[in-house]
Amino acid sequence: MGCARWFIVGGGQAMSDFNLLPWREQLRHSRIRSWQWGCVLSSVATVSVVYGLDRAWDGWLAEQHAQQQQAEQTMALWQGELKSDAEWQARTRLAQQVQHDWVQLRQQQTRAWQVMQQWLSVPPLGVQIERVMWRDQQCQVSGWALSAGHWQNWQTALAVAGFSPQAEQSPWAEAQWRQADELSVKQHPFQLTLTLPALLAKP
Amino acid sequence: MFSKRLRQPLGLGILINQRGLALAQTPTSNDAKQSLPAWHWQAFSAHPLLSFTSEWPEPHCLRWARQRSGFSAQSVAMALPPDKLLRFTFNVSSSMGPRQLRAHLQAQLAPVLPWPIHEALWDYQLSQQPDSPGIPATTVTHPAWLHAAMQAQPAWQAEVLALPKSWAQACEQWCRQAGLRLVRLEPEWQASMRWQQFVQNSKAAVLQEPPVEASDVLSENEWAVLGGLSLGVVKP
Repeated sequence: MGCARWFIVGGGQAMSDFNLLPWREQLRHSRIRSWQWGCVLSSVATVSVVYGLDRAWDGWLAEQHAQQQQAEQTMALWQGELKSDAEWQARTRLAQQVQHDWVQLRQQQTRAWQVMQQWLSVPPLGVQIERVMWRDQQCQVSGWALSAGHWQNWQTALAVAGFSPQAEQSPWAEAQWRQADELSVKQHPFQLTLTLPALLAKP
Repeated sequence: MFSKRLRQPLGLGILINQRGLALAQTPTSNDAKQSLPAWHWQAFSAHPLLSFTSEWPEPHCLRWARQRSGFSAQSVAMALPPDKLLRFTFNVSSSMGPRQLRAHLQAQLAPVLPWPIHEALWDYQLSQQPDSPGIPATTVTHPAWLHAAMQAQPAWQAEVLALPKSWAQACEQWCRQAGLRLVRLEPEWQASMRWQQFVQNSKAAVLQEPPVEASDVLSENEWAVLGGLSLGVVKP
């Protein structure tokens, strides 16, 4: 029905403002109606926007799929054309060969490093090594030894490390004078063929 | 669109006496402080109204008066005759919220009204009682600190006006039949006070007295009420 419009403080100096009509209820109803309309409109707008976005997203997705399919078809076509091309076949074979050889090369390299580490683990006391060549799973060593004893000791140490000398070795040569480190020394030249040790498994 | 929105809302004050009805339209903002509101008098042609509060003029009379006046306003304010209004004063606590206060006043009003509360329209206004404690000292059953706090609260009085809803509905229907919308029903003294305040704030001397044509058909008080209605109709 009614509601205070304002408070008159200090003896009622302010102007009174009675209105006996239930305009506040009407205002409240109109605000409720506005709010309801706002809710309905915002719901409709939200649903419309979501529907529109969904449609747009679906369209974009379909377009992307079509583009991807077209790209795949083009790719398949090109691959078919390339397979029948001689140069492409040659290059494919070459690539396969390189891939195959690459594995062997890596194994060989690993093996060489292991042999080198094992070889360096034996100190060449009284022996001067001029050349080491690794070929066909064999190590051919040539160098100079101070004496037969030094040479023999070094061979024993190599045998302990896993390098086994071949049965047929060149005969022990006589000592020769040679210049080494600006000094004239008398040493025995030798050539030795060693069989490589078995491949060590890494821990 | 914008010009329509920015346009000042116009209202129509309607006053009915035994000889006819007077219409006054809200002054526009340009000349609000300078001139009299535009007004129009429509005399009853058949017979004078015996009692406006029990007998309503024909709605076509109002419609015709509006057409002749050329007024475009459709919102109407009318004054309540004093014999239809009931006035009460209640003491209320200042700690009440608006809803609580309304419920409290409704509970106070229901037993003193001559009609059921749902058949009445009422409005209230609060005023602070000067130099009066909130709680009488004789009703003390509280601790001293609580009593002091309650004493410190200002005391409020609610002035309540009520009228029968049927009269307001008849008034609203009368306006609707004439193509108008009743937006304000207020006591005559409130409209008269609004006009007097307007006249006091106005610099134009022409406002101090009613126009000559109006003095033939309206008393000074009726002119003040009509002017106050035309000023107050645009307020909510």
